[in-house]
Amino acid sequence: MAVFHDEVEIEDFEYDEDEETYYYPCPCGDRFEITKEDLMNGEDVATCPSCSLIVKVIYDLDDFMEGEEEVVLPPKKELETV
Amino acid sequence: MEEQVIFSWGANSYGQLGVGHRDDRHSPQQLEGVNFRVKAVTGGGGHTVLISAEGRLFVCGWNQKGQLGLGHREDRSVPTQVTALTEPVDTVACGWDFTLAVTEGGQLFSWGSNAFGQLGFPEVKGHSSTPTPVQSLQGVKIVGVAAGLRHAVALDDSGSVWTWGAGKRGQLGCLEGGRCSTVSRQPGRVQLDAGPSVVAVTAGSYHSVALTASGDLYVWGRNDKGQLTNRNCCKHEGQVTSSLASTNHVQDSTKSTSTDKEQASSPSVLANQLQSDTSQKTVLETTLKPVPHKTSATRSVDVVELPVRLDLTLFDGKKVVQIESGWTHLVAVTEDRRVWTWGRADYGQLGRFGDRTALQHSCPQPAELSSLYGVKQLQCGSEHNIAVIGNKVVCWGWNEHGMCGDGGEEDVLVPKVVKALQGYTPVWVSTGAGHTMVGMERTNCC
Repeated sequence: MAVFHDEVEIEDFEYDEDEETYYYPCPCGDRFEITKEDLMNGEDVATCPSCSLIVKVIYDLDDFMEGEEEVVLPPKKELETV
Repeated sequence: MEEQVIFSWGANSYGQLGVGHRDDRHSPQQLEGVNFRVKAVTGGGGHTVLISAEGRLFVCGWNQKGQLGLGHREDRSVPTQVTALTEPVDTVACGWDFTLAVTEGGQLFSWGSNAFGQLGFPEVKGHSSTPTPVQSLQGVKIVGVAAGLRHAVALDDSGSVWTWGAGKRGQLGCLEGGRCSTVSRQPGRVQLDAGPSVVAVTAGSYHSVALTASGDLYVWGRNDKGQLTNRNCCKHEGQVTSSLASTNHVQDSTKSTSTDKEQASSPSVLANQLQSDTSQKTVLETTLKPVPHKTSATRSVDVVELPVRLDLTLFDGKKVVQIESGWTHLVAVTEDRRVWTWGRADYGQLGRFGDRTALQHSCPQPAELSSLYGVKQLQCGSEHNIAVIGNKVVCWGWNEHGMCGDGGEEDVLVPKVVKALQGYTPVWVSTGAGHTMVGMERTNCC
């Protein structure tokens, strides 16, 4: 059974628009990451490329479902309001 | 003539160990080519700042947000001088991806990520790779500084505390004028009922701590791991175990040293901070498990916006003289030289549960870590710690990247001597999130 280091709400991640990836600090100094595509597919585990820790991403799948063509994402919002 | 030798170990994903490569090191590795004397070092998420005896800064590691202050955003794996900052620096604090430096004249400079306003100047969006003075603190003499993941805490020479950056978890405190911000891009003075009597500040991932001249601790911010002690404490797997009775039950049933029992709290001491809760269950599981969707509303109970004074009876009535914080655990030293730990415990961060089966997820009740009695120096990484006892360097806590320096990767549940350093005299110890660095002296004989 997976053991999560923590649970983190999606708005606490920082979004990189170029990489379409969400990042959150890992205590090892690297970053937990999960792509927009992963989230759209219902994936909710962000992993760290440098270690074994994982975090559960708390988000509402509806926010990531395809609308007409582009997903509504809050990149600006998270930078300014967190 | 005493020769200084610097060792580093632990996580090295971005070259933060300063040893010229990016491979983790599970035991101390000596830094080569450091031809200047170092008086102090501090680390951020993936970067490291060394302060020379003359107050010059040398940096290495992660630089994606310009947190090295070199005017560019390329990582460095060997210490490189910050030439843009010409005034001698007294002290430095590193956040996750930003850096704060206080000059000997008391002026504050910042650089790195400003995504959450953590640099203290609203003009800069995104990041800054050049050390820049925090203009709104001009005329205020800063004497101490601390940084969380995304917020900053500064102390001025009158004993007042300033905060800025991310504040969603209450980590900025309530500022004078009654403003409790979720984000503040400029420094504001924290309202403390102790008045301006603070002598030291520290910060965890989403909490802040002020130590007063009278030995009191004020805490505010996030309390999901018991880092602010008992208030709304002990949240496990979506369940809450914050009643005092259950807290003490947990403490007593898992005590691993004789001193833990002695520190069992008196209910009256804590009653003023308790909120009524009658339906919580005691949970003894040692790991986090996946839980169903959790909303922001349920998390908000973990937030303490108004600084709370911890009753000294938590520390057996003794004044606190030093406070250090990891991301979600804390270590305090009291006037009688005893050391106390509380907060997140599941990687052995508290150092007082030698048996893995006794490890709780978190432990909001400060209790003595008796093997650290008389500690000379102390620093906390994200989930590990380093201290100096006598002439020995000890580490404990999370060890997946070898941050405890014992050559392995198993978590170190109680303070353990870093054997590779024996024969040297420790001068300073330091940590970043997942890395560790020490300055040692060896006397040239004959």
